[in-house]
Amino acid sequence: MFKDLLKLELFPTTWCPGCGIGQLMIQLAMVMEELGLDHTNCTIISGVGCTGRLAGYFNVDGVYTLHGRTLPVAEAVKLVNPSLEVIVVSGDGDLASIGGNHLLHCARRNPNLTVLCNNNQVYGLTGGQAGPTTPRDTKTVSSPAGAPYDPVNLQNLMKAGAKYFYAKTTVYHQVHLRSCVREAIAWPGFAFVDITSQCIENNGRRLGFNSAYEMLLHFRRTYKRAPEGAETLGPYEIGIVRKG
Amino acid sequence: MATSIAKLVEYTNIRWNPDWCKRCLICVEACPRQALVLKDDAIIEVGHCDRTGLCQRLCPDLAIEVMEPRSKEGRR
Repeated sequence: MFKDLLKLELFPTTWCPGCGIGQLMIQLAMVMEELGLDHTNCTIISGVGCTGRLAGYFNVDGVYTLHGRTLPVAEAVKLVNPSLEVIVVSGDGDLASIGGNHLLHCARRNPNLTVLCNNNQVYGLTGGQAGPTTPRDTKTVSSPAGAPYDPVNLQNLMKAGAKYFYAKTTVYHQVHLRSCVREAIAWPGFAFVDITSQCIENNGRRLGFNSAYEMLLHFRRTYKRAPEGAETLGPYEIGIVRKG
Repeated sequence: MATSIAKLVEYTNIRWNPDWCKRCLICVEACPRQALVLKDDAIIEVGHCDRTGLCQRLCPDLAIEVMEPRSKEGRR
């Protein structure tokens, strides 16, 4: 039962009502249970931010790292104990802003890690400031006139190397999300899963959504499957691109 | 916050956990039969539920689930 992987005694979780991270936690637990991953063979490394709280809800050993430092810690864990399945779960700010340098070089070194990026396009925990994946012109707490820059292109960053695995999905598309996580874990190298997720309280309401369910409906209507065999995913396409 | 013993509320088809539920209303809005409402700070099954399971599937807090159907003797 996937719930055995979770610290239910700590529920209710710390996240806001309707937060997408709760759903990511559940889907990850389901995949781990399918694959027979538990405290004997798996560890979860998470960073700072709302997503960083996720490791604390799993019955596996984990590390709650300094902000942005999930990847060097995860890479070290994998080096010292290669038999462990190392799963990094972190947010867009932790991985692509303060942790951006580590993302660049860790992807370049291609260690066997699975990285799940809960991408809600803001710095959620600190109130909803614009971050590296905030779309241009988005009004946030720190960009009241609209975010002035284009977001980091995570797909292109991941595809810069000779070998790569980049998956894009959303927390609404649960079956697809689970298949992305499953394939990422099986991938013998650096696997990055970019998971669009809702932050209703510190982003969604400011964007005009009245509820978390409205954001989920938006994901359903907006994100479509990429064609089979696509080598590049469009901005609103979900799928996997891989090489090597 | 630790929950010692879960106080689960059982309706005809739905089991709801008032301690884990954050009243985000995803279940209420997602239900295609409009079988759930939030009233007096409680999620209530008001009828028409035909066990699609969308509430259970979309809840981010494991706070609501579709129960096993009762047997002829009334047992689950």
